[in-house]
Order: sequence, then structure tokens, then C-alpha cells
Amino acid sequence: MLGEFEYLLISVAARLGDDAYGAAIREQVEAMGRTCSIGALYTTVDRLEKKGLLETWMGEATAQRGGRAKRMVRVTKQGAAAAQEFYNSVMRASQGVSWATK
Amino acid sequence: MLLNLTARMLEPREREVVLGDLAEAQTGLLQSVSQVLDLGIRRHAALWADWRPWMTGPGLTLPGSFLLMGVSLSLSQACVQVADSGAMPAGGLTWLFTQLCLLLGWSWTSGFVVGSLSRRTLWASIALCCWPCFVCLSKFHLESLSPVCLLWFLIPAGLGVRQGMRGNRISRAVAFGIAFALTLAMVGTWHGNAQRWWSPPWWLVDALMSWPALYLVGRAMKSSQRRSVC
Repeated sequence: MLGEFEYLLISVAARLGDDAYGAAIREQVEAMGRTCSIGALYTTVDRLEKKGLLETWMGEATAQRGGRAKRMVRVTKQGAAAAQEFYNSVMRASQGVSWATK
Repeated sequence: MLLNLTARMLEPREREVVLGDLAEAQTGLLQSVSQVLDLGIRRHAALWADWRPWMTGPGLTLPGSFLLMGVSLSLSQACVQVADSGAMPAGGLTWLFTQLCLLLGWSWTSGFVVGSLSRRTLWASIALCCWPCFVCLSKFHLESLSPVCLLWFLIPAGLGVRQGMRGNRISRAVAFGIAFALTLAMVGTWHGNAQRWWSPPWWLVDALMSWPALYLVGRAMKSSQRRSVC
């Protein structure tokens, strides 16, 4: 079972698709009102990659990044299945509770 | 400058990515440094979840430094005795040779094991080696000997670390030879009456002595098996 932050990262990476990389994921997570340090981001990405839920590879360098490469991220089939399972569990657990019906 | 210095905590590939992310997000200097520091600390803390840094740091370097300083000292005392009066130590030339083998072989083997098992936590092993050295140097009061004689073991140990970090292959014959010579030297030293001002329990010394040599043999056998499969 995924943790909440792991689910968040997988969801954001899935939404970004081919444009999913460290800085973009961090920006999206912070736009949701959640703080996301680089340390938390990359240690979680590594953990998810070890579990086979994410794939990463080095992308191209851009001038905007001072000529430095990106670490691209892609959600694997197992990652999507784990996120689906997490989502279903949260939905089931939330049925009938006051904050979910508001 | 400060940011690049802090980023040296990270592996080169990760450093590139993180500095790129920070540049893209136009993060301020102080915040960038704290972000890099946070990741660096997390990465280094994660290394200690493994058994290797514990085995090579507190398990080998710390006790090994004390014992090797003892060997360095007894060998230096014997050499000074031979040079000054021409009188051989109690065990004669054999004892002298055994001590030399022990000093060179054990230091090199320990260094090799530290270098190959814990490259990224080498700083901790170095600190754990320096601490007993400083303690002993501060308490060293022998007029006939220079305090430097305690530190002879650092030269072969440093060479061993360098070769271990390079991932140099050790042939099976060499590994068995080193392990056999070390065991012989160890038996000759700990079970004889050669010790003077320090006498740790023999089983402890045996255990500390044996595992780096056994690691060397295991590693050599593994790499020769790999070669035969290829």
C-alpha cells in the first residue's frame, strides 16, 4: 500500500505524462498547497523506483536550467495499479463520513 | 560557490539534476543551500541503514586502529633495540618478521576492505581511525621513540583503501596467501608472549583479524566464479 506522499507523486507524474521531471512535479505538488522539498521528492522517487512503481532516466539539458540535465519520471503499470488501489481504498474508507459528503 | 560546495555532498548525476531544478525554479541562494543540505543529509543517513558502514567503521577501523598502533609500536621498539644494542627481541628474527607481516598484511587488508565496502562513508572510517590516533599520540610518553612510530600502519592501510576504492581484483591465490600469512602471524603474535603494554582477549583479536582476510578470500572466489561463468 502506498503512502499519501507517494500517491501524490505518482498522480502528479501520471498527469504530467512525458513532461514529468523533478522540478515540474515539485511545482505541481506545491501548487496543491503541499510543501515538497527536493530531499523529500528525490528520496521518494528513489523508493518508488526501487519498488518498480516509477521509472527514471536522464533527460535533455536546457538553458533555463543552466545547461543541466533533467531527471525524467514515468509511472509504470505497477505504479498505476498501486495508485488505483490506494484511491479505491480512500474512496471506500470515506463513504458516509461527514467531510466526504460536504 | 557556497551552493556548489554544498552540492558536493551529492553524487555527480544527482548534483546535476538538483542544481538544474533549483535554477529552473529560480530558488534563492539560502533556500537552495538548505534544500541541497536536506537531500545530502537524507542520502548520507540512508547509507547507514546498510550493514557495511557499521562493519567497516565501528567494527573494523576503530578497534583495528588501536591494535595496529600496538603492532607499530612493538615493531618500532624492537627495531630501535636492534639498532641500539644489536640485541634481538625475545622471539628473534622470526618474531620480527611475523610482526612486519602482521603490520603490512593486516593494515593493507583492513584498508582494502574499508575502501571496497564503504566508499561513500569513507569519511566516517577516516574519522574513526583518526580519533584513536589522536588519543594515543596525546598520551605517548616514550623518550626513545618518536610518536610517529605509532602511525606506521597508516601507509599500507592507505594503499589498501586506494586499491579497494578502485575495485581492483585480487586473485584467489593472492587472497588465500594473505589470509594464510595473516593467520600464521596472528597465532604467532597473540598466543606468544610478544605483547607488552596491551593484551586484549585473544578471541577478540582473532575475530577482528580474521574477517577482513575472509572477506578478501570470499571476494576473490566470487570474482573468479564470475569470470568462469563469462
